Amino acid sequence: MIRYLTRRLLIALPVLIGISIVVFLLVKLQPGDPFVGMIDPNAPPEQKEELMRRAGYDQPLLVQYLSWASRAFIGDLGYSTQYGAPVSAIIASRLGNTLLLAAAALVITIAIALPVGIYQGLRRDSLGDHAVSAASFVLLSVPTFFLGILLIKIFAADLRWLPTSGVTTVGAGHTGVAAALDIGRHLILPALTLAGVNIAVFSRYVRSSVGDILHQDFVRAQFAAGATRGEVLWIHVLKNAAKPLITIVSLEIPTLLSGALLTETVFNWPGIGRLNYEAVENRDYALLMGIIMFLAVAIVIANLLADLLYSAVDPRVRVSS
Amino acid sequence: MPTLSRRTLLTSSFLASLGLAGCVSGDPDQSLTGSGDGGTLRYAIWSNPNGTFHPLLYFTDYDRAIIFTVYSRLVTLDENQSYQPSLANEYTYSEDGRTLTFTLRDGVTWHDGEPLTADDVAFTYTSGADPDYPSDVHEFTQELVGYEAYHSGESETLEGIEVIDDRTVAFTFEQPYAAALSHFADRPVLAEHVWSQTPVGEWANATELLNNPVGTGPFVFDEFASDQYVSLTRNEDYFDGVPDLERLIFTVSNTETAQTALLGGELDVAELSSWNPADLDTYTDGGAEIIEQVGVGGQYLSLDTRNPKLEDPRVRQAIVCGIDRQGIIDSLLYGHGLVFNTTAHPEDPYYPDGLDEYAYDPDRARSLLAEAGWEDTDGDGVLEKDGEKFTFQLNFPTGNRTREQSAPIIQQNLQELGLDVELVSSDFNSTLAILQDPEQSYDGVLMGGTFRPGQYSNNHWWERYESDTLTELADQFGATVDEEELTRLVGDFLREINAAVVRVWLYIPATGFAVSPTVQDYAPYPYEPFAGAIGWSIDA
Repeated sequence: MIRYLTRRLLIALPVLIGISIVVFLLVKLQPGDPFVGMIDPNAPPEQKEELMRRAGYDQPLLVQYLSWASRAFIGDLGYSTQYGAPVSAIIASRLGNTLLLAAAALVITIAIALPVGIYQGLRRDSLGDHAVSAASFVLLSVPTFFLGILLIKIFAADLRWLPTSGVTTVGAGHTGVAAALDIGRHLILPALTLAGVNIAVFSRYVRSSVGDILHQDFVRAQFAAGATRGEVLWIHVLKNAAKPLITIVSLEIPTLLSGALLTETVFNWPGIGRLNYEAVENRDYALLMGIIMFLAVAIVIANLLADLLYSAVDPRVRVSS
Repeated sequence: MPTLSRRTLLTSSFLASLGLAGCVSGDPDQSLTGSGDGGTLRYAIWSNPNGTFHPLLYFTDYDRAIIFTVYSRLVTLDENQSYQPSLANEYTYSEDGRTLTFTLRDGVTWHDGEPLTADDVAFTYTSGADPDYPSDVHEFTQELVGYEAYHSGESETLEGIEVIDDRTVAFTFEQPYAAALSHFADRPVLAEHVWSQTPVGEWANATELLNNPVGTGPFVFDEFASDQYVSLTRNEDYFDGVPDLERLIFTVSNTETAQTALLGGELDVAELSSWNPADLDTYTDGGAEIIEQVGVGGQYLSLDTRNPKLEDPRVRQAIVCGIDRQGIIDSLLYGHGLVFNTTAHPEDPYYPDGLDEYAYDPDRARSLLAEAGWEDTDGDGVLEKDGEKFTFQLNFPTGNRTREQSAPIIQQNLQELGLDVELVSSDFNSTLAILQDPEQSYDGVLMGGTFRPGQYSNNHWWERYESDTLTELADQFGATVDEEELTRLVGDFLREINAAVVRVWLYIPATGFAVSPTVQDYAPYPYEPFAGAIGWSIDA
């Protein structure tokens, strides 16, 4: 097990280095520079060249990369030009919001998609199955942006039940339980929006895997051996149907961590997605590299996690070299 | 101060109020301070401030909003674009117009209780000349006597800034410097005791200090929740009266949902992002008030004047006349905007008369193009000259809806003249990179900028344009402090730019605010959106 983990992590290292090189080049070869928005746009070119020189951005790309990589390796991701703050601190300040939104969206997704998918898998080709499928496709085709605005229109503008945007009621000064409830109220609409598409996708997966397993020989054998419908379903079908779901959820984790730009924008939710977008717009090299490398590491870890969980569910898959 | 009328470089309207020039007009305006009931006002901003709450180093309008409410300046602009004393209660120009001396108010304290002194003022403007100053050096700083020696490290002190006593500080410039006051009105004063422990070269990364500003302004910094809000509380010791509001909170919002948020009671003031009557009606039907004022930002089409197609001024004139600028204002801004015809605001006191108005006139445009040798010889609808077709790549950045929508209108207008126009859009940074690379040739780029009263720049390197006449005039008015002479020289300068069509001036969108019915006495004016903030109040 330890050897397996070590080996996987050692393989991950060159992958991460490769990613960092490609991303570094892509980021640097973009037209524009981080100082465009920071200094008087009319200031003569020499002044900006001086700032580029001080930041080391006039060096050859290889030198710049090595200097970034050697510091990043020991955990120093540098300073954001745009915020004048350490990159790791900025990412950390947004991570909590992103995790909260992602977790809420994931819980909603699973809570709705799982029963719906199982129902559809068991009642394949029934009227109900088709109705739910049709609803899923509608949900899948609605742009996130539109879904968010629609929810705001209904729940914030017309019914006035929920706030339009933000994380807290600004200026209310809630503390303790009241503060948690306040955040919860602000979380409902963005989490529903983010969950919207995923519910449609997840329920399709659950539907097909439950449906497939129901027709497998071992399930029929169980019925033949006199097991009740409930026993077969809970012990065998769901356990087997969960396997692809583990993969999908694990692969979904990096996506959720990378933040949902559109949802965050519509609801002014201060997460990683907005931060990343701003970093690109402002050519905030250090911040951009920091976010992307953080996500790359998250993806590697999520994949590893998926494999480990998979082997826990399915003894046939062994973690071994 | 008999010489003041000629020695101050102010607006003409300032001269009319000469009696008050440079002196405090007695008590703070009592009408500004209301009942003092308190309350919280939430003011929408469209993007996260960077937390660079530093008067010299900030670079977004959102950071500026916080800086201009937390810090104070030596002088501020009033509604007529005249300078009013603020931290300084008196300022005088020397006989030769090269030295500007400020006398500070008594009894002003920083938000942490330390007294404000002339050393703070000297420290602030000296730091901008520091050899390690972490941003572009301002033109104002370069005009100071001894700047070169101090900036290069040759001299330990900056000769042009002298602290005379605790309350008096003098600035001396290489030559009479016309725009000095406009810079003091734009750059608040820093606290020496807060910033002097950190070397100037490290300021840009001094996160703790940048994020926790200590000023002398009407509001005290309270909390910065990145990408959420910045919260300020009132300064009970503010030198110009105690603000009515208990708290002022700048809330990060977005233009798509601000209307719902304001009408739902989550916001109190939001700048309008559209002049569509339907949007305005929704606001007014919901009880909100709409405030409109003249805009302070202009949109223009930058032209590469070294490009062989565009080097003839007649071609550039044709492009201005050929674009229906009023039509753009009418259709995209529903009439809420101004056309301008030189690189200054039409309501600027120095905006000259006798400019070519370049009214929309396709016939005039066509004949100007014909005079310049452009004709459609093969009848394909596109002009040619020396066998070259008149192609025109119109670059524009994404992000400003009106500007994006104006591009196809301009394309259509220019195509009617016989130009083959191709639209190219990309993000702001990439588009700006075209202008900022002097080696790169281009046709046209849509851009925008903010006017700064009292500053008339002869900086046309984006347009790759230089002219001896303009340089000569700029040198002259830059060193002139005589009011009449200045009006004449700036006028000639702006007329010269108008004739040369260095760029195509498009429109100045009006600024509008939607204000919740609970807000009282919200009365911003151009250039100083927070000037009246101590008088704003909220009905509970």
